[in-house]
Amino acid sequence: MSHSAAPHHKTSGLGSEAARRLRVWVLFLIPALLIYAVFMAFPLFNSMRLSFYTGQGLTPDHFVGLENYRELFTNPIWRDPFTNAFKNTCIFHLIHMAVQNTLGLLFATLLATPFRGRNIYRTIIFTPATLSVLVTGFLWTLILNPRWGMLNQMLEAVGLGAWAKPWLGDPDLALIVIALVSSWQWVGLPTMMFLAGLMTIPDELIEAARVDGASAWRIFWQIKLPLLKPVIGIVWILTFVGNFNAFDVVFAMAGTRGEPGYAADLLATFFYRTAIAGEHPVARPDMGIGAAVATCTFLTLLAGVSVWLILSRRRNGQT
Amino acid sequence: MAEVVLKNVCKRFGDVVAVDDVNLTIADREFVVIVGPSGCGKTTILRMVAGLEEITGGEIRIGDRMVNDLAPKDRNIAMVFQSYALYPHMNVFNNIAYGLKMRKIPKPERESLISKAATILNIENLMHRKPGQLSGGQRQRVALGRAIVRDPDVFLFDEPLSNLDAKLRLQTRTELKKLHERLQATAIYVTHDQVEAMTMGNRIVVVNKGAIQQVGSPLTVYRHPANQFVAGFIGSPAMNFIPCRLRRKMDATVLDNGDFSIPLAPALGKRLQATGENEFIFGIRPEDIMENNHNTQLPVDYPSFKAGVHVIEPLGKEISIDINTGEHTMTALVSSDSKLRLNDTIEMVLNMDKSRIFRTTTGETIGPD
Amino acid sequence: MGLKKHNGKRPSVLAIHLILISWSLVVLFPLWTMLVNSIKPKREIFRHPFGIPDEITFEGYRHAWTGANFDIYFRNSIFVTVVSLLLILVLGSLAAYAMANWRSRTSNLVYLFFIAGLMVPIRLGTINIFQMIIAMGLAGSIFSLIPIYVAMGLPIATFVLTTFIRELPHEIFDAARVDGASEWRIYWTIILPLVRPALATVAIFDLIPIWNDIWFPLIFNLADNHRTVAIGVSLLFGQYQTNWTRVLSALSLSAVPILILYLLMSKQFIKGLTAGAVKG
Ligand SMILES: Nc1ncnc2c1ncn2[C@@H]1O[C@H](COP(=O)(O)OP(=O)(O)O)[C@@H](O)[C@H]1O
Ligand SMILES: [Mg+2]
Repeated sequence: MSHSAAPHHKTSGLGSEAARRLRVWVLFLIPALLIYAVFMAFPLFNSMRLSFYTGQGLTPDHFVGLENYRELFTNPIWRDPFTNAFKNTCIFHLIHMAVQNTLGLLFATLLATPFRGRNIYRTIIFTPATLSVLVTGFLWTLILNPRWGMLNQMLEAVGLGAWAKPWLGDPDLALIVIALVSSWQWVGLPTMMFLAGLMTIPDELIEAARVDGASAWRIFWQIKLPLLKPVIGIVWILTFVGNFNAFDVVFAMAGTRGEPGYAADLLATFFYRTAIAGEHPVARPDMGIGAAVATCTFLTLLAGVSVWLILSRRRNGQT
Repeated sequence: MAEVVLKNVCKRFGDVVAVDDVNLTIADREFVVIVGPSGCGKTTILRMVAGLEEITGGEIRIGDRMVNDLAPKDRNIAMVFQSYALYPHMNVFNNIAYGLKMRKIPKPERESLISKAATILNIENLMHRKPGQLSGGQRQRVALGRAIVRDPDVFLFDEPLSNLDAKLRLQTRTELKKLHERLQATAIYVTHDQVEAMTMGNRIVVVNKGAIQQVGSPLTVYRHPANQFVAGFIGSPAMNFIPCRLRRKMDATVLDNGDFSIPLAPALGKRLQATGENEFIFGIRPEDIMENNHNTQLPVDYPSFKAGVHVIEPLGKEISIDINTGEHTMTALVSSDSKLRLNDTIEMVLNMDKSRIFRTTTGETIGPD
Repeated sequence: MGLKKHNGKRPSVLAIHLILISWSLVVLFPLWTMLVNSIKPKREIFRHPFGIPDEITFEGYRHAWTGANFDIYFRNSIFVTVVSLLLILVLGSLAAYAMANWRSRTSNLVYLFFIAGLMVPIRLGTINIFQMIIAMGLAGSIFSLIPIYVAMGLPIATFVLTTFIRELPHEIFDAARVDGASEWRIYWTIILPLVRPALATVAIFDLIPIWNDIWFPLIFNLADNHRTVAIGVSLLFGQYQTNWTRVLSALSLSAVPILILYLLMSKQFIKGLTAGAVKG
């Protein structure tokens, strides 16, 4: 059009007002950006860089390329605990999905129908999420204690003494029990998210289906669940990130070695031992290997987030 | 007080040209109305004058200062926003006081200024309410109060009445005009409502697609629209546009629309021919299409034709009818005394004195004068 | 019609109550156990672990508070939490105001940069953070935790606050600019009062992980008078695993402040903790 004809006063003066604005925004952004970059983003990338170095002590300074990864994936000293921790973390995650998030969906569905006392249940279900994981872990450790634990006492009291078990001492049970305790604590989060999601479904939609003669069960499967897909996606990715980063609950209930015998070892506890505390039998922290473990965790998370982004984008594209 | 000058002002948002080479001079103490359809760039023009939007090119002057580089606070303007933009967490008093506080006006002076403005706007009893507790009309007054209390050089109004109901809008229109006379400040008033523009402006600026189409008094833009856009935008019901072909009929030049032909004065005919085009748009306002009866005192050679009545819409004083001539449908206004009924066939005549002819290619007005 | 509906609903409401009451018991039983046994003498805990105490003792609390330094730990935890939260809220809202107003590719990139932190746990950078803290001479000090918690809290703060500010009517800021306010004044007099609900959401969201964090205090190996409650609990737990009264008192002590806060404002808590997810 004809704007080419405009005289070019703009470059000279206009800069000052625009620059003034820009200066203000940059000034407002810098403190947050600086702290975030220096203490979160930069260490993350620098830690990954360290996975290509080796050396004793605090700062690995000897460049070894992919040697740390080769060690981690092939040397049985590292490989076995690493694959064990990875596998355990996956199981840990699956249990959360099966128990925590299914219960959450159930509670949310129940709470979505209006009845008196809803808010009390809501408050109760969410309460454990406000506790420290450490407190939860220790508390349940006491309750599950085989000798004086209250759970076994209770089972005996109701005549189910035969079911009493050393819950946290049994290598086949420990991981599952810990995952259940963690689900107990966090079930309030998916409950609230699903509830929020259910609240956005217009009543007319449900009513229309009811008029068409659909049963409550059918309505749940064919209307509510498909509409909840975005929330399901968010719940999944948050659970995923949380689980692959979980440390506190295992630390509290099974120590940094995921007792008994690494049965409850997760990636985070494994990382803690390799990088900070020193892994048996080396017994000395190896920052290089630790950085490689962290990088592997990061890549796993990245893969999960990518899957989530792709799936949710495809869904958005469809509708 | 101050004159406002926009010189070759442009604004682009990425690839979108929102304002395209606008030149406009608004005299000191003048009340100018900018009118145009929604999205034509009216708000953007105001925001550039206010300094809220950087200009991509050109120059804006307020008084004798070039303000391109000045921040809004240094331009001594006041703006009434479309949404009123009252501070929701402050009561009415503090809303009005905010601008004075920012300018460090001492408290006693501040209070007397505010109470004066409150009296003018009749909002004294609302001072302790929050915006959420006010009706639309009251909010609008508070927004006005916030503007006038600062005694600015220039008032900018961005569709200040668009959120009011019809009755209140009518009433506020006149009050605003009175207020302007009293304040004696330059005012730029933006609206998408052409009726509002016609009644409020001494001078109105018609804008379309970011460019000024015509500047003039309400009567000028109504009677002598510069182009087809202005002709169609101003006036309600809108002007009828009939595509025609230029033809020679015996000695005369006529515009033929397929249903009937419209004779042209020889000079006009020559002018149309000189363009080398032969498609034109014939424009006629509904009130200039009349029932052809003995009351009509039009020259006999004005074109008349028969048409069927398709739609009848009583407007009160008049009746708007849609008539069909075969190829074309037109809207006409007839007196409410008329005994017309649906599907009647009537004879109509065009008042050629008030008709307009536009070039199909550019839309510009080419005749009759 | 209304009658029929009512009758049809009765049994299902009963079933709902049944399910929810069962779960409520599963939730409340451990908490009850913790609180009630923390004021029982050791012997009584074994005799009847679930009942109301015959004899009340505060020995456990007394020991934790004075003997196990929980007074210091509490002071430290409160200090770290309050300072970190204040910094998160101020820095986060400043940045959010800038990002909500400054629309450009650069600011979008900065926004994405912050948001990425929502999905990446800060713990993955532990090794380098640890090195930096030592290099800065902050090792073992309570101050080492603050910048880390601020960095950790900023992604959710910028996300919630930017979304919130973008949803505020933009013309309000323009009105203030025309009224003669500087951006800084607008931030203090317009933005801060208006974003208060979002600030509460952010504060609650960041409060719990900061108050409860065990990872960084553990790794930084804080000096004794710099320890936080979470670390204190884990020390005490290791030391007195068989002295239930003491252990349960310590657990209660660390849980009760947040628990009370939660019961007082459960609605805001639930909203806060669910916010990041639902908005995304
Ligand atoms: N901030 C912006 N970014 C991009 N495009 C914009 C922006 N503001 C306005 N526009 C575009 O500029 C044009 C004019 O807008 P506006 O001045 O608001 O119109 P009006 O006020 O006449 O309705 C529109 O096409 C609009 O989409
Ligand atoms: Mg507009």
